[in-house]
Amino acid sequence: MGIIEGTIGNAELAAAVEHAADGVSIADAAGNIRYVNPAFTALTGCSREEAVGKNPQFTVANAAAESSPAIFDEDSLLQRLMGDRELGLQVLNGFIQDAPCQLKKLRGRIDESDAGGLVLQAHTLKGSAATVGAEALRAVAQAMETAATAGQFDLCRDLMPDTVEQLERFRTRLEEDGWIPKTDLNTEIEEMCNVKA
Amino acid sequence: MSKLNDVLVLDYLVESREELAAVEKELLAIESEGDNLDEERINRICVAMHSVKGGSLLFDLVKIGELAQKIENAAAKIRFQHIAPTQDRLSMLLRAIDRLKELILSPDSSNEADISGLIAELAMPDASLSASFEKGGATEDKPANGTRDRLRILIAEDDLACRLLLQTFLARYGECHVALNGREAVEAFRTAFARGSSYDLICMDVMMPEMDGREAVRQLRAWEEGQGIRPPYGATIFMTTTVREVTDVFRCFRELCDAYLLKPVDLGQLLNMMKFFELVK
Repeated sequence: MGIIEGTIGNAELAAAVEHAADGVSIADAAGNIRYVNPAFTALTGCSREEAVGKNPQFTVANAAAESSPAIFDEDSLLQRLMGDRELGLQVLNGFIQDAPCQLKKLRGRIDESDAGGLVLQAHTLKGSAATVGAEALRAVAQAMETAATAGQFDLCRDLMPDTVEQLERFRTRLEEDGWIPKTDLNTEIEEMCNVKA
Repeated sequence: MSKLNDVLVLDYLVESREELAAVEKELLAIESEGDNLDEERINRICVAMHSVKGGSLLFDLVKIGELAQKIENAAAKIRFQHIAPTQDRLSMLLRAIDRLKELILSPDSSNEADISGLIAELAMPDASLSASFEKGGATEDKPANGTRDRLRILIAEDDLACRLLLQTFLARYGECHVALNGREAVEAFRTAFARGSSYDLICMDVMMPEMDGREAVRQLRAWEEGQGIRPPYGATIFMTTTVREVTDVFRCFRELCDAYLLKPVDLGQLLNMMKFFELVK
């Protein structure tokens, strides 16, 4: 709190910014970041220590280039599986089938404002993502768990699109690398038509 | 080496030193009390050694773990009155505790220490033991039931990916059953027990809906105790946990889980732990 009060010079406003659900960063005249709030940290995955003193654009670019977690960390997954690709196939395919259901539950808990359930659900997603080496998805699930623990439903809701996107990226990567079968668009459209009919 | 931070290792080492100091006191008290063995004293020794052993596995301190395990087993034999707490045995245990304290003072070089002589002495063979635990497949040295060809395994895990991973891998070593939360795990455990086919290995997640893993372990161990079974004679329980949770549940060894398995689960590490507990060769 010391930094923010020094920066803003108004204790009430400082407290409001500190606890805001939106990510806030404050820069000085030279464009260097002097403060970021916890929501900023949760959204960007960039800690206060990492952000302060840097130029915002540099920070964002840097975070994307260097410290952003991998979509799929295949090497460490295989290492944990003692090189067993067959086992990897089973676990990855199981995860891909289950994940949409997990996201649905996550959204359900947010809509119901069920804090306890949301923490648990985000925790489970974090665990599954870590198990299959979906590092970027794990990171956003962890941010969600942290936000849910603090009761920040708005922040959780804001993180939802990113969660969906990270899962989609992971799925696409697995398809490209041949870990899971390619989605057949025609079949999907056919199925949708069948449902409507 | 472990993924855990130095603070946690230091915590473990400090706590272990305290545990060993307490064990020493209890041993000296048992020695001075002569024939009247205080069951609570020997029980406290068993729990303390269990805790030192369990923590060591988390940090790959293999020799500390091995020595603590053998001391625990020897204390358990005394507790279950398979062997008498003779003067010789008590001073042997005190010597082993001294050696363990040395290892804990220099953890970095502890894995290179030669403790084979002590380990052999600690085996404290007793003829009645193998007979009384024949049902569980016990041996003199290792009272667990790991000599079965196929293990009976329970996996309590609410996360599908992790469950699938453990189930597929562990199916190579035995029959796997699955529970989706702590309550189901306790039920499965009781059912298996009633059928006379209790589990050899239980992998227990910490954070689960309905009943968490810690509560489930408490209930399982209470159940076992009600049947006259106490560690190290009961099921081997591995808690699967994230690094973040470890600090909170470090004292879980008090509730007598046997080891921690860090998530995401590394099968090599799991296999090593199964070997440590002699569940696989």
